[in-house]
Amino acid sequence: MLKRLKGFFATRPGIISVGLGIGILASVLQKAGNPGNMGICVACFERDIAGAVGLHRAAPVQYLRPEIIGFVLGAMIAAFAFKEWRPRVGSAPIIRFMLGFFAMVGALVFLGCPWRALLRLAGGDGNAILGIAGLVVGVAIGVYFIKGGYNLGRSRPTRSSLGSILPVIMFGLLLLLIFKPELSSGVLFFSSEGPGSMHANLFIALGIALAIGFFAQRSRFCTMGAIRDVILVRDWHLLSGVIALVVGAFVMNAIFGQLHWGFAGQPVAHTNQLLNFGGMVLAGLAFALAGGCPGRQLFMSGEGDGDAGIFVIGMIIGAAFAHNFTTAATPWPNNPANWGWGPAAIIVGLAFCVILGFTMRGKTVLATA
Amino acid sequence: MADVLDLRGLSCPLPVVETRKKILGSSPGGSFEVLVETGTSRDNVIRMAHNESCDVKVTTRETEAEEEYLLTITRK
Repeated sequence: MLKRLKGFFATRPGIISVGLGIGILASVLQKAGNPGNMGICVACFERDIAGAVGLHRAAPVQYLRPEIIGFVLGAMIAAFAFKEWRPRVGSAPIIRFMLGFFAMVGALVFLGCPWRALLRLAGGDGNAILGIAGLVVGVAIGVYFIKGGYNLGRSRPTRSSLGSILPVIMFGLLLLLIFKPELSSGVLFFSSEGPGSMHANLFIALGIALAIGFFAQRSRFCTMGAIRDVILVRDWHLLSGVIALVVGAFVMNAIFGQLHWGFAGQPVAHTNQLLNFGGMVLAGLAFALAGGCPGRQLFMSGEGDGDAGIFVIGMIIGAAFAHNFTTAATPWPNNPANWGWGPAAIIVGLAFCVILGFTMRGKTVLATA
Repeated sequence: MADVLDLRGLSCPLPVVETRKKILGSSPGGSFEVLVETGTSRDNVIRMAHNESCDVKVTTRETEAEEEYLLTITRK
């Protein structure tokens, strides 16, 4: 049975089933207590983790999200079960760190990662249309660079002790979440109001996330790759899974009464469409240059990929920066007249990615031992 | 004699991009080999090769620490 299942989730029916399952479970997580149109959001949840451990002090968004932990550990279980544990590292890690950093900065201007953009769409949030449009443009720019020879060089196989670092960090966060130690510094922080205070029961969230991590690893699910592959090689395989996610979430939202159509008044969202679009252009480009959406980076970390692990850490640090330096957007109804350093951060991030796109090219970057 | 394209260690989507370039540059009946080391790269390259009307034969090689996949791609 295991052998027959081995390749199923990488097939077209397989990835569609996984997408449907993720969409349904995301809607369930929202029903179970996660914030509106945020059953899953890799960017928001990594930001919440950054807050919980004190890397930023934005009180409404601090919580040790078990979903992030479950994604990594579920993928790790799948990798070991199907002999796909591949500890590897060495492909321009500092660049990947900064790509994670800027991907998060961009996502927090839109107020969501690609997963959340899809879930916001499935919840009736019209602002997500501009976010998804920005994501497509960002990925398309990334494809332009990839076609032009952009690459970050090869990774190398390494020891399991290195490949285990991010999964062990996640397990450590899980222990902190379960035991909630109190330290003299004041950490851990858990929001008493705002999105950080809205969360499903730990075991429900962890269980669902472990399942998603497992099946997403098997199916190679990737929201950025879905767009990239259509543009790059006209392959709709990954996009079929993504469309299934939207359908699954939409149907469950309809059943749960979680559908609210419109632009104004959407949960944890704002209506500045230029920033919705621009933030996701940056995020999409950064994910494309790093080779995976934020969910995929978590799943690859679970496979032992140390470069994906450093991208994840870059995202967490980026979230801390975004809140400490006022680049993260503020959701409706508190839209300030001043958008903080968000627009400037998008410009800096785009400049960084464009410089990378033009300079990280050629056979020398691909040199082998 | 088949060429071997060593694509181990390259991150997504480079294995697909490099293999596709090789396919489009080869004539019908021509064949070459591609070496990848993750299941993801293997599955992605196979799917792309089939989309480009190629036959693919997969040979799994056990190395010291892990598996590698030698894909023999023949353009129809």
